[in-house]
Amino acid sequence: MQPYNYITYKPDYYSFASSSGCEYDYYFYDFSSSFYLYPDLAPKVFGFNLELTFKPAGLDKVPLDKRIAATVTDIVKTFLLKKENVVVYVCDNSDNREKARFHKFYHWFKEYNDGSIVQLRGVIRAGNTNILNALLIHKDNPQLNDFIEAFEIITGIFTKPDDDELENILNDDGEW
Amino acid sequence: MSAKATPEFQQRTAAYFAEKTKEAKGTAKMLVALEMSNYIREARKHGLSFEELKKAGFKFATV
Repeated sequence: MQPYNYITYKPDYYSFASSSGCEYDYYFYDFSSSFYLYPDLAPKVFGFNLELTFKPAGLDKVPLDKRIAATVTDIVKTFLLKKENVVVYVCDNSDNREKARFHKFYHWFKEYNDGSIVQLRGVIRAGNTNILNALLIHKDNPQLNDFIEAFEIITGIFTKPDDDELENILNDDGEW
Repeated sequence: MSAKATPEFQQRTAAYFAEKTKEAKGTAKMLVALEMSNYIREARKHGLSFEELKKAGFKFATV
């Protein structure tokens, strides 16, 4: 599947048009605040948004277009290629369509992944809200394990033991 | 084009979300992250340019 040609408006965003005449902006924004407990990792964490900025008059519904998925994943792969940055996507739940959005992105990154990108999915339960999210990272990122551990802690997949507890575990020669 | 503050749309700064994240506990930090993501999207819909968002402290990146 051939991605659409896109224009890079450095250092802010990317833009492309589909064959139906729809225009999209796509951008990565600083997501460091959610990783602020990890100062070594935080500056390398970005979120992303895809926006439909123009729809031709008379086009009621944006047609299904797999080249949009190919374009978006191509931009993400390029963004991660330096093996420094990671991308977190958090699905908007304001319209109760977060599950559909999440599955769409998940399948985009799965279908167009050449094996270079690791995708970790998470569900955060905050109060009565479920937040669907995922981390995208290059498999050869030298901080892969650090990012995965931080992401798992932030998303609540597991709770990091405090230092005393960790010390006890590491020094415990007892039977498992 | 600058967006105007309306009852539906209140302009925010990156510092506002950074402070809110620090105050949030545990996984609630991700709720703030989601709020910031939604804010940037809404700000763009209300006509804020990337330049204006950057002036408000938001950062963007390309390669």
